Amino acid sequence: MVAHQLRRALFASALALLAAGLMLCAAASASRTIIDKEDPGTWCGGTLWRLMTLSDDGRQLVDLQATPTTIAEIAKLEAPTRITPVRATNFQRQSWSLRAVIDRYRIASNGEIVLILYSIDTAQFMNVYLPNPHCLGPRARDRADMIAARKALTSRCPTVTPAWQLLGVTVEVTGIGFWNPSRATRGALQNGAELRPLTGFKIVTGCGIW
Amino acid sequence: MNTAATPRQRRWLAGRLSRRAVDPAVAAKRGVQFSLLVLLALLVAVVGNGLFATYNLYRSAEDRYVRVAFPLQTLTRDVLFRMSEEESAVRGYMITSDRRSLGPYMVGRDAVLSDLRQLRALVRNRPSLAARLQDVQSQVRGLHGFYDRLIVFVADSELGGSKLGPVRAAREALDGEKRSRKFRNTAFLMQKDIEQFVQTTRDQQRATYNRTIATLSVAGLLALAVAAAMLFRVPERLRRLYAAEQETRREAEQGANAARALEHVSEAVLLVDGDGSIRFWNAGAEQLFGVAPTTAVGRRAAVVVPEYDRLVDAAARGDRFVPLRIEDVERWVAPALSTFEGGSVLAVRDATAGYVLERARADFVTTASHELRTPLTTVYGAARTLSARHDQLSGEQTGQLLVMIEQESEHLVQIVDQLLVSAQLDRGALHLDESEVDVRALCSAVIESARLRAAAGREIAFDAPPAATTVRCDESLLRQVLVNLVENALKYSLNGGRIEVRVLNESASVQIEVEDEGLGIPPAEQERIFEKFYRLDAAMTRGVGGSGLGLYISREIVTQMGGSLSVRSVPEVGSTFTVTLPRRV
Repeated sequence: MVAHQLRRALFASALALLAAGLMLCAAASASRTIIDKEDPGTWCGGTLWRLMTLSDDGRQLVDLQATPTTIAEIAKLEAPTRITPVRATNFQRQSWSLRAVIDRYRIASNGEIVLILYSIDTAQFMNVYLPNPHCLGPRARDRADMIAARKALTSRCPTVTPAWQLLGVTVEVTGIGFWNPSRATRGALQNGAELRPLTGFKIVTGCGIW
Repeated sequence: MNTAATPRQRRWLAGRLSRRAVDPAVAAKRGVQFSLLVLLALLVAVVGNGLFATYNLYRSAEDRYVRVAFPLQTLTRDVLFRMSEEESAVRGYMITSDRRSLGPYMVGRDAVLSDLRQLRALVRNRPSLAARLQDVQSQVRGLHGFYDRLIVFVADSELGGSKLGPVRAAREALDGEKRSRKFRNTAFLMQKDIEQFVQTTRDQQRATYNRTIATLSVAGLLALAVAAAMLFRVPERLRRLYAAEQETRREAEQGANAARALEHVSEAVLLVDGDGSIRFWNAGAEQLFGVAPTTAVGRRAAVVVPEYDRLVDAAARGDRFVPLRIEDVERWVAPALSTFEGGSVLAVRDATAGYVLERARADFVTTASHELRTPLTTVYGAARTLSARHDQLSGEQTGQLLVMIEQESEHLVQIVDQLLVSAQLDRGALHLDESEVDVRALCSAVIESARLRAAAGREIAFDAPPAATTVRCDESLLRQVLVNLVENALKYSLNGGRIEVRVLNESASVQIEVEDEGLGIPPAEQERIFEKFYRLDAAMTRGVGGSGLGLYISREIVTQMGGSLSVRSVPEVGSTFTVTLPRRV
């Protein structure tokens, strides 16, 4: 009986040590990632990268005069059957603005800041992205606004981490329509619609603004 | 000849006559006009003030209270109420995580934002309220953000089953209490501000009302006073005005009548003002002085009538006749002067005829005295001679004296008869004792009588139809006429000469002509010799006497018999007097 208890204690201690080790490793990895993600280069790229940074060939087709909308309206859009690095839909060729509450946010591996927006009226979540400034090449259209939008968040709100953080800030955002092939991401709409990149970001309340 | 007064004269006369009446009328008119203007101004002030006050009251009540103050109160209360509901809804959601609990929050949030928009518009021009609303808005925005934060934290559990969000929400909920309290305090302050605003509005309304009532009362009382004053004074003024107008009209009518009468006066009438200028000049003056009214009026009297000063002096002395030479013709005028304040009226009557008659009368007295005295002296001398020396006179001498007395007495009787007939003619009392008269026989008898009295060598021829020539008339008076004519022929034939009497028997009349070869009569005097007391040789320079009544009486007698007496004469050649008597059945 005692031996059994001891085994259980040893097993628990081993698990605790393992967990602690894992946490330390994760923390070390995260801190390194923050530093690394600020560095451009290898993370900037991919099939849809130019769409994400408004530096694609069809960037000039985008109407930057923002159209007011809501998460609910975007959620109703039908996703294209095949997503290519070409601006094939009106959603992709238009700048949209909406008001919502940021539930959580984090910095992705490619340096983008992911914001999970929440519509109180319709209880819907949606993802929007602030691009990594280091990935905005000279071809990127409206580059300055994108950088300003990102700075509007980072300058007032708590530091962005790779881990999700609760934020609870009411914002008005402006961004270009984007279809994400991956719809399993946290907070993603069912149709994969996102605003990516964001070209405007304004805090209504929160992050010290009341 | 223009006998009407000129317009300038009429205006001057009317102005003088009505000057006293116009001034009170003008004064009365101005007084009434002023009173009416004051009354009108007061009424306009009352109406204007009433309208302005009504508009102010309406605006203050409608704009400030109904449209501003009341909505302010309502909206503020609504915001408070909605925010309270929102808080409850969020709390309920936090507890139940049931989205249905958020219904009041979502409805209230939009309603509150709408209320705030309306409040912003209402307090736009009211800085104190706007500042307070700014605080409310800021706190509402903060609360909404806070509520959104709590809601999203609660909803966060839906993403991945994490309870971190709800726990965080529960922890921060305490902070919401502080925020809500602060908002309510601010909202209450705003409510107080609005209540103060409402009170101020009410005070302003009351002040406007009181001011309006006071202004209207004062203006109304003044208008009432003016109206009452006019009620008492205007009728009296109108009565005076009417009376003055009546008096003016009477005076004007009198003046016009006077002017009209003066126009028709035969005398020359001059109205001269104090400066010596002629103001009125009637037709008589134009006729006498030969100057038209348009020329005379306005000029100095002494210029228009050179003898003016002499006439005025003569009138002042009371001279009956003043000699005046007008256009080289001597006239005798009788001036009369009336002076009044500011001028004088000189009336000048042409008295030439009267003067001549006066002079003729004077001459008659002289002549008649002489005519009567001559035979009387003869009679007186003969009678004294007979009386004193009757014993020394021979019978022949006595006879001659007696004949002389008889003849001179007849002469005296003749003169007296002429005077009597003249007097009868003057009275119109000459009686004709008509009968069928044989003119031929009558003329013959007169001639025979004249021949007896005529000087030796004087020839009096008589030419008449052989048959009797009768005419119906007064024989005695006709005899007197014929005697006059024959004796005149003898008297004025100083150098002798033939005298012829002719009787002409016409079908409708009988003419008797007495022709002489005497002095003759100048053409200018051939009519005047038939005037009363007129004598051809009044000064008796040629020793021819007479009463000056003979021809006058003769013509009057013949005229009353229905006939006529005329003369044809050439000076120094002779004269022919013709008596024409109509035959009457």
